[in-house]
Amino acid sequence: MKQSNEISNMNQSTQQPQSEISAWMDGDQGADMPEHVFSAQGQSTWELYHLIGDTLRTPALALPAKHSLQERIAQAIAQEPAIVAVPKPAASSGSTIKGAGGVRFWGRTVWPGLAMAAAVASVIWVAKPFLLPELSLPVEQVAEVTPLQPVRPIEVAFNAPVVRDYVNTHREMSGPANVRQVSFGAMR
Amino acid sequence: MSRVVSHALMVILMGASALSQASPVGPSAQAAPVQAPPTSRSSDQSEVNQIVRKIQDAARTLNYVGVFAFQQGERFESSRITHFFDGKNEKERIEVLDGAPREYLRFNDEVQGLMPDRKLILLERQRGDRFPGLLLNHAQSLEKNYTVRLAPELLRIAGRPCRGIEITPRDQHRYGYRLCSDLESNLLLKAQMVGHEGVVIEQVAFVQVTIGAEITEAMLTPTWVTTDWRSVRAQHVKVDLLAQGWRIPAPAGYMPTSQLERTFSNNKRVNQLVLSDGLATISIFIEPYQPERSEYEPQGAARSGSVNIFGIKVENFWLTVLGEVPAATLEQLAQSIQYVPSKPAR
Repeated sequence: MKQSNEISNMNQSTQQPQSEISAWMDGDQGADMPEHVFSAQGQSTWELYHLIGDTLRTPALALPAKHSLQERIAQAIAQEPAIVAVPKPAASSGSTIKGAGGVRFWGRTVWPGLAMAAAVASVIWVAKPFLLPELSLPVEQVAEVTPLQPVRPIEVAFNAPVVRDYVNTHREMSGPANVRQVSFGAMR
Repeated sequence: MSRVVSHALMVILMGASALSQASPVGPSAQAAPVQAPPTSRSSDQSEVNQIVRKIQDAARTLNYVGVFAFQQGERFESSRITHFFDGKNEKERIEVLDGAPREYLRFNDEVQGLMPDRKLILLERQRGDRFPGLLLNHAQSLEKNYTVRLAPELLRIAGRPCRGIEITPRDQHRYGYRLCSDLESNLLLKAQMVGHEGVVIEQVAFVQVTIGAEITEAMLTPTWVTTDWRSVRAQHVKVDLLAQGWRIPAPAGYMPTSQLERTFSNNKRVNQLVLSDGLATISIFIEPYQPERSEYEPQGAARSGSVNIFGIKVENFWLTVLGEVPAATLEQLAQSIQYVPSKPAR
């Protein structure tokens, strides 16, 4: 029983500084800056609580603060949804570029670079102005590899007023199953 | 070399590589078409082009009378078509057999739409071929975006043997098609649009047809006397959306084919840009966004029959992007459209 009380007291003494740090970070009224925030444990608690806050607000920021900025950016880009489906290097391919570390070279050097290149390619695809015929082919090459996420559209009746004119006007020029429609909606 | 420097160099090299691919510099920019997976059953491309051209020619140069049915989801309509070719000019009459009575009279590219309940004739120039014609915007795009092969066995439509043609998309930005052309005359007897899971999205087919029929003038004469009817010509004013500041990145394989100002039934004027990959089309309608209006719909992704729709506000405009293409392609396109008006010259 006595041992149990000691453990309880020890837990309380450990939790007290943490509670004060938490209260001060949350801006609770009357909470002064706790001195033990400058201790090693206080610093650790400080970083941990900020990490929790960052995680709750933005999962993408949930990287340990001890990482360098460059590594954090590289990891964040690597964790982005795949924009470009880069073919995996065949282990047996004689033409595969390998550094001293083989797979390690690809994992640490090439993939982050490709991920960043994908970001550049994505920007180019988005920024490409239309009606420039000479740009059509490169646009295809970039957009071709962009994975499509499934979309669940809501159902709208074909003769619903909100879509009727748009659909009828569009269908003047669509596809092999293109027939003259009953509606004369797309006219005055 | 430190990791930071090597990563920076890699980024620069990769970025430069991506830029060089995206820049229209030299012939290399045009030397890398999308490659289709090799198929042993795929027909020779010249043979495919020949078949497609024969389908188009047959629709224009044959005399035929028949009834075709159009089905799209729960929607089902049938029409009677009478087509006449005198060696130089086409005459066509289409009677819509379901719903409100309507007739369409076509003389080459000029179409009259007859509305007896309003005693109205809508005059307009035909834009693209209709069934049994085959709408092809660019034959080259067809080859680039689809693989075409002949079905191994003959099919039978409306009591006639026909040749099946499978048109398979090379990527996920478009649907596939199945066609069947009359073995004897090459007239298109059936066309189906097929989704990625092999489900038929919409289809049109003759249920009865007489090819090579004798066509009399009476068969091309409308049901109603229209001498006192009002005529209205549909106005299609050309516009330049690029000059207006619109940046619309076409999905892979699609090219802009026309830009028009259209007037809807409620006198609303909208701009329309049409993108096509040779078979599939996407329309982008652009209109000023008016905050006092509350009925901007659909917002986001919607579907009306086989037509996918995506509504989105861009700056002070409302955009309705739609087409018989996968919903994800539309959404990707709609969300990448930008409005960058040029500053007025001082």
